[in-house]
Amino acid sequence: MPVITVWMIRISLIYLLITVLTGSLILAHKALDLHPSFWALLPVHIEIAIFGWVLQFVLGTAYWIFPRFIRGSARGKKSVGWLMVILLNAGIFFTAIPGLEERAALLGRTALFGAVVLFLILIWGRVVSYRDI
Amino acid sequence: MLPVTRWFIKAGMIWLALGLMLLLADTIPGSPFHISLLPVYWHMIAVGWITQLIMGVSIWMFPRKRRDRKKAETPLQWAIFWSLNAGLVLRFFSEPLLDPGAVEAGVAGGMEMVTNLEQGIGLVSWLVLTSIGLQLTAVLLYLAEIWPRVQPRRKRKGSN
Repeated sequence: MPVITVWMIRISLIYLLITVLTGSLILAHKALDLHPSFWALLPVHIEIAIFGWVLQFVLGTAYWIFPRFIRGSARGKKSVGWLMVILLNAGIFFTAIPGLEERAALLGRTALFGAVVLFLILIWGRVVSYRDI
Repeated sequence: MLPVTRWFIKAGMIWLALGLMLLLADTIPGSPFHISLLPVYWHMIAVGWITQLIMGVSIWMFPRKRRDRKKAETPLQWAIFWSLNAGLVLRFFSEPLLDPGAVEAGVAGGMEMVTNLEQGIGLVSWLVLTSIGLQLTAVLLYLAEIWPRVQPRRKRKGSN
């Protein structure tokens, strides 16, 4: 398992824990009427579940498991891979943290988009069958 | 494929079908449902299907710590499966009942038997809290199972 995948999957597991904890607090509030402010966690819960947990886990696993390049670097440029990880997590951070300015959310969405574009660049050439080479 | 993985995937597909069925039921104009199904079907899809599929496949495919236990199942893996699915079943039956309108309308089966509204809501709250505990337990057990298996190749070889 490449180090980039190890980082992505471990971060996604941490996000899984965070999304389950925030979801638990919201559900507990629904059951016990703890405090209305718990509803403020809902966007964080959704954002982290979709992008932090599921997307990051899937991208990290695909980066590891898809067919590798026969020549040159096995999974493309590592610097691009690391930039993808940084942009993805910066994007999740800026969009998930409540109370930040609108500009921060825009910056976050841009970073998320950039991460996905980098993923496409990295993975496109690896969506092949070895029989075709 | 490990038997526990087959259970994860099949249960995941059942949750997906149920989630889409409820989504359809909730979309029908003039739906007879007086309860909010939205959190139910979204969690059926996001937790029951996607998360469960990821858990099952990763338990099967991720590198093992020791080669000699390559195909062995562990009680921990079954505990994850049962804890998650028991939590989900409990949640999907109890969460819609948290809506006081649902209790008053007598929509949910069995709730008609509860004559004391406060007592009924207390019971439902306990069911919801139990479901939270079970789902949280499943995730913590999954982290315990999978975290040590997410390692760079060189380090994993060295630990053998």
